[in-house]
Amino acid sequence: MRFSRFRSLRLGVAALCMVGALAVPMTASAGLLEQLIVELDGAGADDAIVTYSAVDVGTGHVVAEVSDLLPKWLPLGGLLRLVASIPNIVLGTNQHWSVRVDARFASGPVRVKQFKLFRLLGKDRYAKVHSNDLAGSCEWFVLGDEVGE
Amino acid sequence: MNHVKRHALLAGLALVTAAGLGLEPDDARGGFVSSALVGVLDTAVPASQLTVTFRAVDQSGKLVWEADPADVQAAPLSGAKLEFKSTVPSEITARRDVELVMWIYAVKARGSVSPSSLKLEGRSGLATETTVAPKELKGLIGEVIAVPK
Repeated sequence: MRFSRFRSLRLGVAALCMVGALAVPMTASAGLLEQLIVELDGAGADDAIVTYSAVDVGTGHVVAEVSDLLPKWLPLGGLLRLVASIPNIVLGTNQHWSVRVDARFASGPVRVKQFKLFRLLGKDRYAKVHSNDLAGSCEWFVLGDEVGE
Repeated sequence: MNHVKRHALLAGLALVTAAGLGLEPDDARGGFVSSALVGVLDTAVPASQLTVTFRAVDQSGKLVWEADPADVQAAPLSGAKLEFKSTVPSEITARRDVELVMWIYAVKARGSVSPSSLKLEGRSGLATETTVAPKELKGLIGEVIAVPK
């Protein structure tokens, strides 16, 4: 009796470990481990066309593009947050994630509050942004560059 | 068959062939052959401190075409100017739903960099020219966009 209870406990722990071990790759494949997040502010934020791409800054070649963005208005401060899950792509030395904010046709001011790489298992990374009004222009912000970051 | 009839038959044959190939009067302006995108920067920094490439993007900012890095040629011009040039396939220049972009990575530039102009040169001469307002790009990434006419 005592032995069988001990055995079921061991089985339970083993099952839990298996689920845990499977959860990490499953989360990674679902793109939940890393997400690109840009937060826009201003009356014209909704009009901005935002695209994420991984660019090789040595050649200018676009390594990957992410166009499935999930927009969400944050109630606090009226920020527009655009979130995109990153596919499983290993970037090279000169390759960095970037965001293109096309605010040429924005009906009002557009400011980039932050552009970051959210990491479930690790420290978030932030790109260097400025608070200039982007309305009427198209600008890029890059992550992971020693000057841009 | 007299002379006039023979010429009329040949002209008709040419029209039918052109229609079959999908040729339009616009193609006579250089659309059927590769055009060249020529971008000029106001800068005294060497081309090695910059990465410049040419792209075509659709209205959602999605990449449609990008220049082969080996095809982008840089040449210094007089008066502290740098010229970058690349060929563009006819399928791209013929499209009216894409924008041609000169992408400038000046994050590592140690001097002033400002876009000057971007033009599309067809076989029969200038097709589109975009003159841009000067903007300091040192330490930044910039774009010059030419909208096809």
